[in-house]
Amino acid sequence: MDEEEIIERLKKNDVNAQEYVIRKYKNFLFNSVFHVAQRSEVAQDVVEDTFIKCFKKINQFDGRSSLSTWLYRIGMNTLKNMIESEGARNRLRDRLKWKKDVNYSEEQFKGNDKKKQIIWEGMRHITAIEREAITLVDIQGLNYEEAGELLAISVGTVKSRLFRAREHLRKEILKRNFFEGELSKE
Amino acid sequence: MKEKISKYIDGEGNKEEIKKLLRKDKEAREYYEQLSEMKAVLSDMKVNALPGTEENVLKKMHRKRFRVPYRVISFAAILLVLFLFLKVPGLKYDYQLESPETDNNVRTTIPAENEFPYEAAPEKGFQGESILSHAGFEIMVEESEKADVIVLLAQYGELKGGEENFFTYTLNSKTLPVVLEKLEKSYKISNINIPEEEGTITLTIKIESP
Repeated sequence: MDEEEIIERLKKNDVNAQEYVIRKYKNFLFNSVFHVAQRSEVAQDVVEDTFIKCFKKINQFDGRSSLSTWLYRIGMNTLKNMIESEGARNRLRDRLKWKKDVNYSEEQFKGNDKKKQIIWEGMRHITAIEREAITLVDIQGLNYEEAGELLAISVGTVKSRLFRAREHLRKEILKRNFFEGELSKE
Repeated sequence: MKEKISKYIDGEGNKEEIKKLLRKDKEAREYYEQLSEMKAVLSDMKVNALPGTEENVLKKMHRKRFRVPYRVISFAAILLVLFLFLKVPGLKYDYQLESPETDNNVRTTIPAENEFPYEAAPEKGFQGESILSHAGFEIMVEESEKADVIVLLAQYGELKGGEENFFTYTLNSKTLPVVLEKLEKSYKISNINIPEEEGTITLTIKIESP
């Protein structure tokens, strides 16, 4: 099924095409959002909202970018909106004494790999824009062109942004003795 | 130097130049090793979406929504209120009855002959239809209060006959409700019996000592 056919079927509200798109892009979207937001429940909400928005507004898709790029941008905008309203939601949650969501990072990384945990902690201390660049290139494995398309920036900007992000993260994990073994070897 | 190494670990830039640099410069080599290790760990930090994503999205997309007809419900509520409080004015509520303390309408004098007493009797707040619908009544009063009842009946109606404890008065559709309203305030009334005649209503009242 090529992308053109998928889009045509999505426009007809085809459930099979919708399921196919979710299966194909859910992990990509989840990774992108999860490492930027650093909260699994937010990431999952964003991913689900993103697919729903995509399917409902598929008629507005003009084909100038790929479907994955369109989904990514919808996802990041949804995340941005969610973060902006997070303050109000937290106040409401405290008032209603909702059960605190399980921190997915702890489930995923604690006791599993010390280095991953240090990087996760370090990622908390860099900016969201830096996290986004690292997520796309280092975690998702995209090249500069692909990352640039998703971020709607030039390749040169991707390189410089990624360099700053890595440098920032390196310093953060250095503080947490991430390279202790390697340094002691030398 | 650092920026070049950053590109190099992504497979970009002049590879030969960086290789030379790494061989010669210990600091550059250390930086390269740190970035390489960081990137290696990062590349292993992919996570999967939580299970059930497809089901959740498709369920939300294709669920049948029940739309609550708020407008219809609101309109029906307004109609109900109008029906209860406006459409059925015959229903008498406590607040519609004149209280005995403020009721100064009872005339204590017997009207003169040919005087129609109802003309002078105010009807503020009184709706008589519901009382007229009663099947019949009896008034139970003390002997000492009998005179008051007779005075009231004589005030609004015309005495047609009677015995010691039976009195028949002719009342019309306007005076009967007034009389009944006043009687209801002071006496227990039951078993109302209202035979109708042309243009007038003949009311027979039996007055008994309890």
